[in-house]
Amino acid sequence: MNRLKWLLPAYRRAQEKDMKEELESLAAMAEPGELGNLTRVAEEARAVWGWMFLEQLCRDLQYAFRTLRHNPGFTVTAVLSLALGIGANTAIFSLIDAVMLRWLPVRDPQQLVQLKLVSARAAAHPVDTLSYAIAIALADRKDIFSNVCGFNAATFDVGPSSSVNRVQGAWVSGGYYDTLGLNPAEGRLLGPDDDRPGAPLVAVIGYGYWERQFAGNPDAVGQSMRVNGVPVTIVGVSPRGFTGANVGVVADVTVAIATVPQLAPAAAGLLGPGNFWLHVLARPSVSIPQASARLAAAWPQISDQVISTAWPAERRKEMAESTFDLAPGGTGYTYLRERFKKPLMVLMGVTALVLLIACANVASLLLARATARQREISVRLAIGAGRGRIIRQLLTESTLLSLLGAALGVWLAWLTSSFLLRILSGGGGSPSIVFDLAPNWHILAFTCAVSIANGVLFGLVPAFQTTAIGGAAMVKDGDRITRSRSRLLSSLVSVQVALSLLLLVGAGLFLRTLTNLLNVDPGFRREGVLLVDLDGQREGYRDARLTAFYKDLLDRVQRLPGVTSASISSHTPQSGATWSEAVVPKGQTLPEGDNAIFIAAGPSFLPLCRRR
Amino acid sequence: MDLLQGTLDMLVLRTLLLAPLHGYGIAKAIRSNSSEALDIEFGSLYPALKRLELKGWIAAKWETSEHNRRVRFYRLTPAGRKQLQREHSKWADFVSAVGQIMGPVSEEGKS
Repeated sequence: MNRLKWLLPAYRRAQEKDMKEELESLAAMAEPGELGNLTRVAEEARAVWGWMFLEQLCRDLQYAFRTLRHNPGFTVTAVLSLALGIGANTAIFSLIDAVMLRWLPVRDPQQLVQLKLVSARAAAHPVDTLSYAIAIALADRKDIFSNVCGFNAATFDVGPSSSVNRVQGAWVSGGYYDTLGLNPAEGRLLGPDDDRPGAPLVAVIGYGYWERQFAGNPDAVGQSMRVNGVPVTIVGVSPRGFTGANVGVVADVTVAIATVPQLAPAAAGLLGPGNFWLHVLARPSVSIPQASARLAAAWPQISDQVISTAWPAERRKEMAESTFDLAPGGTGYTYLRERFKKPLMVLMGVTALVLLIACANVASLLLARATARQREISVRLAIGAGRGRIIRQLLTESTLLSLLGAALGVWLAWLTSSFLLRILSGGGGSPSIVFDLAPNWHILAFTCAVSIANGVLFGLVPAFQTTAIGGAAMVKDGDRITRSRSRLLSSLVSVQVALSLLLLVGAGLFLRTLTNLLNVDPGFRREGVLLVDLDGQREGYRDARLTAFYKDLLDRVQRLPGVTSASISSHTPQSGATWSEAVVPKGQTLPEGDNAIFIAAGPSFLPLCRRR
Repeated sequence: MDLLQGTLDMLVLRTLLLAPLHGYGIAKAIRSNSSEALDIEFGSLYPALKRLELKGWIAAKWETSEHNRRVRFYRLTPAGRKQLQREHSKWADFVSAVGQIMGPVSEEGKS
């Protein structure tokens, strides 16, 4: 309590005046020089008082700001280096976290397993999609799994035919929400009864979609909306934060798989036993090894019922002999994981190196500057500054520098994250990937801690070295410590140059590969060829009207001024989608595992693509 | 002669037990009372005074000295008196304990 009054400026001034008078009176009594350095005595006496800390901090901060402002080159370089290290690391790690590490916002995600089928022939490549029949059959085995569900992403055309919106969604089996253990935000979620042939057409909408399209109005439940042209009743809203088990694809509209024949007649085949298209998540009712063992015992029997009887006996036998891999499933599924795991790891490694370089850079900057400041520190020591006081001031300065770098780094992390996401999404056509990419606070804290510790550590080296020698000696001769420090400095510089060179060569090679890819010869004409992507079926045309629609479209395009030639085709080169089927001339046997790639196209398709 | 760590506070308190003194006076008193053996540096003494004052063991007051000069006199407070007693007994224990180990100064010890 008593100490608090020291915070009052008036009280402090009175104390200060008292001390000054006292020291003067004592000095008048003593022999000249007998009392030693009185400035220093006063300084140490002040340190006894509690308020000194706060006041000195204020003064140190002011001084540090001034010093940094007077050395803009140094400040900018150091702050930018730190910001780059912190920003890049945080961005990459946030992405890795979102794609690979983050749990789904569901009940006990660590209990969930994803089922993968491992066949003897391709043991290294487990199949992570299963058929609808398998998902349904496994859901009945309560002795193994308390819940099983299958799901996959889909796109739906939602709205009346006058204003159709393409919306991301999901097909899910009846056990989907039970398996995830979710509670509705409004209404109810889908259950097993919704996933039966002939069940009423119902849908669950996502929380974000509910807020965007229905302004979060509870009346949305019970309303009807047109999905692919068919009226569907909204029965509920999924909880906030949950965007589907397909990580990166926000499921705005979720419907039961049993409704595929009504909602997407062209895809009705998905329900067949030969179609392996569902990702399967399960919650074991026993321990994972136990569930694994029971599933292995039960599978030959199950497979007999769920594997297509149209398949050759050999394939059926192979399926029956396959085993299941119960992989952790709490992070959901995303194709991005398979595809970007390696690049992301490489990026992480590279950015870790960048952080290292940034730290080395800042360290050498601080060391180099220390040489320049030796004289300043010596003079301050000589005129009575305490050693601790000088160290504290340098500490404040390097902490301030590091904090500035960290702040800029956080900002950079935000920017980089969204930029990386755009790269992942692959630009225009493909459905956008949506992640919550708020910088990961753990990694942010970690990188900030590393760079601040680094700044403080190397900010202190000059403080200790210079002050250890003592004032007067230093003013005369600054050579000695410069030499020992320059060894540290030169090794830092070599490490930095080595690492930078490594990164530079790596980045150069990457860039070269990238430009090569952009200029690669696709084997067909690219100049002056334009592509229109249109699906008449989605617009409601069927059968003869569909054919007429395409014919009319082609005619109209050909009549456009400037169009020399036009053709329709089912697929286009390099679109990524292919249509492949096993085919041989009549009379020969079908080769195993060798399919031909098909394109259905109009007569002018080949001349159009051919080079002149 | 160098001071043992932590004994300065005790010496100051003991010196003020006799009479209130100003800062320079305390230094002189310690020197003369120890037959010139202990020469306290003013740079250590003055912060020690501030420390003791803050702890409430000594109190200061501006007075006029015998040479008709305004000086700040320090005197022992009741709390300081108690503290001195504690330190004194601790010191006695310490001296006797060290004495038991070292024994009387012998001939070989002197060499």
